[in-house]
Amino acid sequence: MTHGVSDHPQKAAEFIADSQRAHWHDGALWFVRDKRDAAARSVPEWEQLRETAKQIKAHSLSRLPDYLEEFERKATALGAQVHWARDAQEHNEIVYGILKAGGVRRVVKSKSMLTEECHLNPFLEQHGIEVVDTDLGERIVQLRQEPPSHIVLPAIHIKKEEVGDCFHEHLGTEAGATDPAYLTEAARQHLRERFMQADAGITGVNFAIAETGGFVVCTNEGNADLGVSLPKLHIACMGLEKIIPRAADLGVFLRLLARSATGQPITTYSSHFHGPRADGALHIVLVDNGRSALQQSEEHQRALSCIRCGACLNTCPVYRRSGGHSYETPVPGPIGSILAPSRDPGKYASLPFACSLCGSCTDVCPVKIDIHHQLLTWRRELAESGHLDWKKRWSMRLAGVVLGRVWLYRFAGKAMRTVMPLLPRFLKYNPLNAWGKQRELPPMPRKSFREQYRRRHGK
Amino acid sequence: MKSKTYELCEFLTDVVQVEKLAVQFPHRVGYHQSCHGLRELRLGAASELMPPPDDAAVGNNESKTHRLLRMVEGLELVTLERSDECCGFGGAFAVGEEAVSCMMGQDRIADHQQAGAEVIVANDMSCLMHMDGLIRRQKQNLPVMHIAELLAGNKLPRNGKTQP
Amino acid sequence: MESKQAILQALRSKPIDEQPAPSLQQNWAATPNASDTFEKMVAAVGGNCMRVRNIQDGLAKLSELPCYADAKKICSLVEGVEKADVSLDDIADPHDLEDVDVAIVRGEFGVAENGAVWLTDSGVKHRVIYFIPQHIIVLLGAEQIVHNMHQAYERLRFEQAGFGVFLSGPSKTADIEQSLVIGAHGARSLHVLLLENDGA
Repeated sequence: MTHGVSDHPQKAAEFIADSQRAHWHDGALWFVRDKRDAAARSVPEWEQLRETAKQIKAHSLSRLPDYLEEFERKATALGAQVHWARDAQEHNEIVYGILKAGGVRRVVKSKSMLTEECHLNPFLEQHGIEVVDTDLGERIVQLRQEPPSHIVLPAIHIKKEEVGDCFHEHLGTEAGATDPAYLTEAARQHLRERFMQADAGITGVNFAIAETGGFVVCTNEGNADLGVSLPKLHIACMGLEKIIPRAADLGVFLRLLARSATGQPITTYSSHFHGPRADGALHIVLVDNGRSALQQSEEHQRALSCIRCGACLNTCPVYRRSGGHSYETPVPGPIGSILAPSRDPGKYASLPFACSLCGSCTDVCPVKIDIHHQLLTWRRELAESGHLDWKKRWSMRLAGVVLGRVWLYRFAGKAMRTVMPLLPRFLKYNPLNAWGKQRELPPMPRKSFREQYRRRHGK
Repeated sequence: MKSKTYELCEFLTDVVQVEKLAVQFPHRVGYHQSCHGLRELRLGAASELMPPPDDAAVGNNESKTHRLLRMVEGLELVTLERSDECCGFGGAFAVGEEAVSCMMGQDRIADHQQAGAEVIVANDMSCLMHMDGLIRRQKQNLPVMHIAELLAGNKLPRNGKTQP
Repeated sequence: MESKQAILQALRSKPIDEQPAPSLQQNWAATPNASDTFEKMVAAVGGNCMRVRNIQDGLAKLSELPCYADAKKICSLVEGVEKADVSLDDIADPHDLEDVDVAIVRGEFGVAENGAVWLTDSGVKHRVIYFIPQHIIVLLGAEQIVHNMHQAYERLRFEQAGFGVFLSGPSKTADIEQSLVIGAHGARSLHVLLLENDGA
C-alpha cells in the first residue's frame, strides 16, 4: 500500500505559503471550536458525560468479539445480512458482490469515513458502477476529484468562490455565483435527481448496538435517509469499533457527538435502523482493516474509542494551519496521526511529529482519548522500529548523549555561551538552522543560572 | 520526586500560600498560558474543560499564575481572543515543523498585540524564547518576561534589556 | 465465514481485562421546564414550535402556515386534514412521493434538551415521507416531552424490526464556508404543533 512517504512538514509549509488562506482556514475551524465550547458549556454534566462515554467504550473494547457476535445474531434475527471483511479489499469486494447480485448500476452514498479508508468509490467505478456522494461537502470534493480534508466538514478547505466555479462547470450554475444558499439549492436539485435514480444506498454507521442488532446513522442534511428510503437495497459499512453494548448508551453518545462536532445539540437526523424495510434488503459489512491489531495493542487500543466527531481536528493548532490534505490520510488531524501509523508506520512516520504536544485534543475529546500522549508514544515506537529519517535519528541521539551526561551538558552550555557571541551572523543563520529561518536565536547570557546562583550565595 | 517538585507559581500559591505581593508593575500584561503548565500540571483550567456548575473561577480560565498576577499593584491583564492556544514551540517541533511552529507563534504574538499588551509573560522559558525570537527578527517592540522576573520586581524590559 | 473466524480469533488472541460498563442511572440534570425548553430548542435548531390547545385547534392552525397554504400536494398521517390529497397507503412506490409539498405527521415524543422529535415507521408504509417532502409539520402532545436523551432511551424498545429517527429541526448544511443553509436534502421547514390537550 505504500506509495511514497508522507511528508507533513513539507505539505504544511506549502499550505502556509498562502498565509491569507491558512489564516482563513484556521479561523473557520476556530469558529467551530468556539461553537463546541458554547454547546458543551450548556450541559452542566459535560465532564461526567465524557467520563461515562470513555467507560462505555473501554468496556465495549474489552469485550469486542462477544459484542460483535451478539450484534450479528440480533441483526440477523431482524432480517439483516451481516458480512465480515478482514481488510479494505475484502470490504470492497463484498460491497461490489452485493451490488452486482442486485443488478445495481447507480449508488448514492452518504458520508462514511470507512469507505474513504477502503477507497470504495474508485473500486466500484472500475467495475462500472456510478457512485454519488450525497453529503454536500463530500459531493463538492468528489466533483473536484480530491479527498475530503476533514472527517465532519469535508470541504472546509474550499472557498465559496471555488465551489461556485466547480458547480458552474458541473451543475451549470451561474458563472461567478458564490452565495451558499444558491449553491446549496443547486446541489439539492442535482442530488434529488440522483436519489430518484439510485438502485442502492450505502451509508456509514455511527453506532451499532449489540443488544438490539440495530445501528444509528447521524446526518444534518437528511442525505443518508433519502438514500436508503427510496431504493430497496441498503448497505451499511462499519468498522468493528462502532459497537456499543446497550441502546441506552446512545443517550450518552448522542449528547456528546454533535455538540463536540459542530456545537449543535444533536444532529438533525439521528436514524435508528433495525432490520430491513418490509420491501427491501439490508446488508451490514463489519470491517477490521487493522482494527484488531489496534485492539490488541495496550498502548493504542484507546484510539478505537473514537466516535469521529472531529473536535480534535478543530482544536488542533497544527491541523488548523496545515489543512487536512497535509496529512495524506483519510482521517487527518490528531486522531488520524494515531491511526495512520498503525496501518503503515513507514509511510506515516511524520504524522506523530506534526504535533506540539499542547494537549488540547485530549481535553476536547468527548471520549477522553489521551491523544497527545499516544502521539508521544508513537514517536518512541517509530524510533525503536527504525522508521525515523536520519535527521531526527541523529539529533535525538546527540541530545540523548548530551542530556545524559552532566559534565558534557555543562561543557556544551559553556561552549555555546563563549562561542556563539563571537560567530558572524552568516555562520549562525545558515540553511541548516531551521530555527533561524524566521526566528532570532536567544541572546547568550554570560553566565549560566547555576554559575549566577553560586556566586550570589557564595558557594 | 513528583510529589516534591513544584512549578514556581504553584509553589507560591499552594505551599507558601502567598496572599500579598509587594510588587508594582504598572503595565498592560499579556499572560501566555504555556500548555504543559496548563494541561499537564493543571496550573489552571484549560478552556476545553467544562467546569462544574458552581465553579465560576474555572469557567474564567483562571490559573494559579493569574491569582499571583492579580496581587501585583498596577498590573492590568489584557483579554486575549484565544486564552490558551499553543505558541507552537513544542521542542523538536519548533524545527521539525518550522512553518507551522512559526505561524502559531506569530498568531499568538498578534493576539497579544491586538489586546494591547505591553509585554508577554509566561511560566515557560521555551515559549518565551520562541516568541521572542520571532519578535526580534521582525524588530517589533513587544518584550517578553518570565513570570519569575515580574514577581521578583523587575521592570519592563527596554530595548531588549532586562531592567532589574 | 473464514474471515469472521479470523477476525474473532485476532480479537481474542490476547485476553483483555474486562472493564466494567458504567451505570447510566446518574444524576443527569433536568431542564427547568421540559415543554418550555423544548419550544426554545426547536427554534434554536431552525424549526418553529407553536402551542395549541388541542387537535382541532392544531388543524385550524395549519392554514396559517404559508407552506401549508401554498402546498399543492399534501400527505397527512393525521386524520382530519382538509387539504390532504395523498394517501400513503395508496402509493406503491416511494419514489412517487417526490412531489409532495407538505407532510403532516405524528411525533411520539419530544426531547427538551435538543428539540428532537421521535418518529417511527410503525404503521407508516413509506418512511421516506419524513425525508422527501419540502416541508414537514409534526403534531406532538405537550405531555410527551422528556428532559434529556437518557430519558428518551428509557422510553424506547427495539425488539422488533423497524425504523425510528430523532428529527431535530429542518434539514441543514454548513458545508460551504460554514454558512448555515436550511433545506439541504430533506425538509426546508419544520413546524411542531404542541398539543396542550392531546386526545390521541
